[in-house]
Amino acid sequence: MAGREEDLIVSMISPEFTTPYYELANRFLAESKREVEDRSRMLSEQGLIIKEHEVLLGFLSRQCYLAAMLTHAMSSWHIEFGATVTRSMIELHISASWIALDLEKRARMYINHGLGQQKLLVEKLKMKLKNEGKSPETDEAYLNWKAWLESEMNSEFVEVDVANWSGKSIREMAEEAKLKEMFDFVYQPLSFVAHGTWNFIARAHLKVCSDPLHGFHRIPRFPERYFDLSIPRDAVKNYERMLNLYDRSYKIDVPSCAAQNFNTDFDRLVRTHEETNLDEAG
Amino acid sequence: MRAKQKVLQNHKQVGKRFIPPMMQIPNLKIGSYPHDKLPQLIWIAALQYRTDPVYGAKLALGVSDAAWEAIGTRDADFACATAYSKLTVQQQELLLSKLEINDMLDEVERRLTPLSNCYPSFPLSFICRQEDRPRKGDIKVCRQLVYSIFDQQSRNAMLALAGVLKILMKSGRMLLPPNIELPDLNAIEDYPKTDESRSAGSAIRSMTGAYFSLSEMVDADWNTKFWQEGRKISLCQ
Repeated sequence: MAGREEDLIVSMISPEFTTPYYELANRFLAESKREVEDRSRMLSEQGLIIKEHEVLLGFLSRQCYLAAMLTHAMSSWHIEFGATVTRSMIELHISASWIALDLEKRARMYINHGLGQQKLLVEKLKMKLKNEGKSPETDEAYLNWKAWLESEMNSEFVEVDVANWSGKSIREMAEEAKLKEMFDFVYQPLSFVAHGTWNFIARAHLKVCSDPLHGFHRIPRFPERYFDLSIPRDAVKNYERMLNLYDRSYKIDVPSCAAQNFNTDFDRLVRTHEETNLDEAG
Repeated sequence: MRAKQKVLQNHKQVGKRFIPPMMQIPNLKIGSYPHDKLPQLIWIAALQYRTDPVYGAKLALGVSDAAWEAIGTRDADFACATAYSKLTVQQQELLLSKLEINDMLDEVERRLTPLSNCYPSFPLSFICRQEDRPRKGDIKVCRQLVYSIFDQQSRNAMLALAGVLKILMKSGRMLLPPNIELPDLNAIEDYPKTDESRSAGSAIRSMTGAYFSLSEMVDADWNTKFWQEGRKISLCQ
């Protein structure tokens, strides 16, 4: 990395950048939280009280939470950290988009699968405790997990399905939800990072030794100091995508501003900071 | 309207795997040029490096001629470095005397010495007065030499492969059907500047490729040792 650029990056952890930045990150948190809370209230006002309608609300709440986390944790603005969370946000968006095509039916499939998974976990723990000669009825984790399951549905009626909850792969869901490009060019590359596939590891964590006598073999590459500014931008974008999907699904027509305000303020702050630092350096 | 093309259309799907057309050819042996061929032809490249290609090729042919004379037959693969490690001490001495008679020994020794000093297992090191360690400049020469032929399509790599082919043809171990019309292989001297030279290059790559894919030298120890010893010469950069 060129010296000037590195100076710029290092300067981003100085109070001159972080103080105004955290102000706008806090503003995003407050505004996005209010937007999600408004949607929750509207759901009740529309009389949509069955559990199926909590699914997209849960998704929206999660995207809001993850976006807030990523925007607040500057140390996560690196492909290795940011990609894992961003991938999770994209997967959630694909699932949400697929569910939204037949909302109540597919949301029920999603809930039933989740309850089945919880039942399986509870049963496995019960077996483990018994094998160890312990009583499940005195195990705190077992009691808590089982109590949550029973509060959702009598476990005697919960089916366990070890296949995918939708019976489809993420790719198939993306195709049906017309998000194939997002799957191919966003989700898949992020999966390379998350799973550490060779096409990622070889480029990100190894470099070629330049001595011809060594046959141009690869040697470790150590992290450079830099911030990937696309991480907070993408996090906010993914929150905004989910908010738009939610609003379309429930025919909500109220203005939202959290994502737009963050993008505008963030771009302005980065630009000002770059100009200031390049002036000082030059 | 054009039909929509499917991704990997020319591949054969077997379950979740997509097999490319080349991999559908039965009994195909996949070789790596840097690993399987470069160590075998480096001695030819060293004799040709920074000299007139005709003269360099003459030196390489001179060495293989001397080796055949030393063993009394042309039925040996002296295009490849590994073949020289199979010579007995007596045969090595005969080879040296033949080179001396042909007034090539000093030049061949001078050109192979950096390899001999840097690589303890170099199969032609008996030609050189081997030092305990590389002399000043030996590592630099080897580095430039390896770099110059690392890309199979580079001029130096092409000239070295042409050297391999000349030795093979002279040995009679490479026979071509009479109906095959070859481009003028001597045009390789101008590679890659002219159409004729590129055409010769293509034929040379193809013929030596076929030779190496059938040669037992592909699995030779020297190939592995060359890169192992190379990594001991200097630190990673």
